[in-house]
Amino acid sequence: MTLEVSHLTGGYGQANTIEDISFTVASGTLTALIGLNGSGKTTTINHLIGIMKPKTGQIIFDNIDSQKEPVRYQSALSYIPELPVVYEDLTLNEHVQTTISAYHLDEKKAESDAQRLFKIFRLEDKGNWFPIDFSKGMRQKVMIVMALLADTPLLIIDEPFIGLDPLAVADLIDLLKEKKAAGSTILMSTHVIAGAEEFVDQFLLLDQGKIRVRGHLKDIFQAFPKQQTIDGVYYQLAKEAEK
Amino acid sequence: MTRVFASRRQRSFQRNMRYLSRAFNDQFVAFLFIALVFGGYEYLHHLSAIGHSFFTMPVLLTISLVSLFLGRLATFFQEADRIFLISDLREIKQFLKAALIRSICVSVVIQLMINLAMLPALLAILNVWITCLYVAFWLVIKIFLLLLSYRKICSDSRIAWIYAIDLEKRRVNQLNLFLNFFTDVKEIKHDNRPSRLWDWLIKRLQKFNRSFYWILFTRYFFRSRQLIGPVFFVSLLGIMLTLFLPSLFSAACAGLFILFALAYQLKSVFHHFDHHLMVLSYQTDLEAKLADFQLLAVKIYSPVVLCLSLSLLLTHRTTASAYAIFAFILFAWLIIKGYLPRLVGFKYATKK
Repeated sequence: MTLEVSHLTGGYGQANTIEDISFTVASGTLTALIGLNGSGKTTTINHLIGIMKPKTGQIIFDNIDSQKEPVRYQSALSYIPELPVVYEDLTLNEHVQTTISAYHLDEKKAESDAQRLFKIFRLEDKGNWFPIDFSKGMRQKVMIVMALLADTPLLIIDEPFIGLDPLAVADLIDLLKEKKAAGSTILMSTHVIAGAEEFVDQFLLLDQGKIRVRGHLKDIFQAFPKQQTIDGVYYQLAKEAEK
Repeated sequence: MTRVFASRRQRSFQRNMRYLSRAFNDQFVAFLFIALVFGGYEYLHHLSAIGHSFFTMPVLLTISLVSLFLGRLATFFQEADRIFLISDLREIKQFLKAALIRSICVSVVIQLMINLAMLPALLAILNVWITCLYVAFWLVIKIFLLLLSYRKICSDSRIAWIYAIDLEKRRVNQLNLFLNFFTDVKEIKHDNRPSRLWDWLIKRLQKFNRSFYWILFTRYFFRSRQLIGPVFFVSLLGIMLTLFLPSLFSAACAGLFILFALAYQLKSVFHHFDHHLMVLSYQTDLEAKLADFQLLAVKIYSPVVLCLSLSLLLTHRTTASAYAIFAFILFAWLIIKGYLPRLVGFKYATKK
């Protein structure tokens, strides 16, 4: 089950935020979108989850075209947004019910999975609480739990580590490794590069809406021979943008 | 700063006028005129019956009590003010004094208008001097409440920003809810206040249906103070009208009008989650969404129709009441089956 993005161009209004982006994410691998703010990471993700329509190009997952069969395509993916978006009127347990209904999950299995995930993220005693009253980090945990609970073959994650405490970051990385091992296809945008090579199979460095470099971290450093760190690479990208 | 707040006040006034001008179109003004003439005739025609009724005083007291919630202290504060205006205590205090005087004037006018409408009923049960005392009492209470709000916001050395901003939000929302009775108001915000009673009901309703939109709709409807409140009060008004209107024809008309007004209140439920990021990222089925919405409408309309029918029967025990009850049921069915899908633009959405 491979995610294939080919010649994707899109953006807001007349302007194209991303242009002619092509990449493939194989089953059982994790690809990380990296780049400066405004480089097009979130726009790419918005196209992938189906809330923005591509101006040109195709997004295909497991031979399902996102534009021709949007319902089948969307039911195959789950998504963790950059800013947690929870339902104001629902308790944490009711969020679980919503996910079960939205993805037509087996209720008993999903509820026991939810309990396991709640325990991992230390939310087990918060079932009757309203996530709208949680801190940002705890709301982010709710988003992670719901996305993992859906147990879809495609997982799209936008900046998952922001606001999480170090324990939750470590737990999330473990769960992502687990999902990879189970054959899920994972695409993630992130700014946290330190230690990422351990679980990321492919990096896509976005620069002004285009893929500048793809591959492992060493490929990125080869493309920027003067730089020793990823911060240095970002600094050089910012300098180039100024010119 | 005076200019900033003057401009906010002006913008708010223009916005309200825009909504009202949208609502008060020719048809609505004609309907209002007929309703006022009809209602006024019924009110004055049955004044002697009202004067002897046991329920008149409790009803008048309830109206006066509810009227205290109208006309709050209008500060026009915004969320960012507690950061940007924090250093300008002296000018804010001057502005707040002016705001208090303006709010008192507006509240006095509102109170006088309500009391003017109640005057025939008041004079039917009380003498002139007691009526004047009654009106003055509620005016004093209202002014006292406004002064209390002012004192809570403005103390010697500081402004209670969180309280002030919250108060202003609630005032704007109350205004929006009022405008929403006549037209669509997008700026309505809702705060969720779960209660044991509604949560108990939600759990019972869960047994009917466990679909995605059903979960969302029931929670939004029963936990949102801005939704359940108006629906509850509209239904209560309907029950009171069908119970107290002496003529069966007017009572039945009032009941039908209340059923129609309820449909408008339910409209916002259908669209509430349309732009929610997580809903957008799920696969959606519009037919199932409409079915869940109509099922919720059935659950809301059933007890309301039952209450209206019972209150009608309490006052009018005639064969004609059966026709009125049949009209209630038929009208509710037509609203749920035919009018609600049109009202929420379902046909347009599926064509698109």
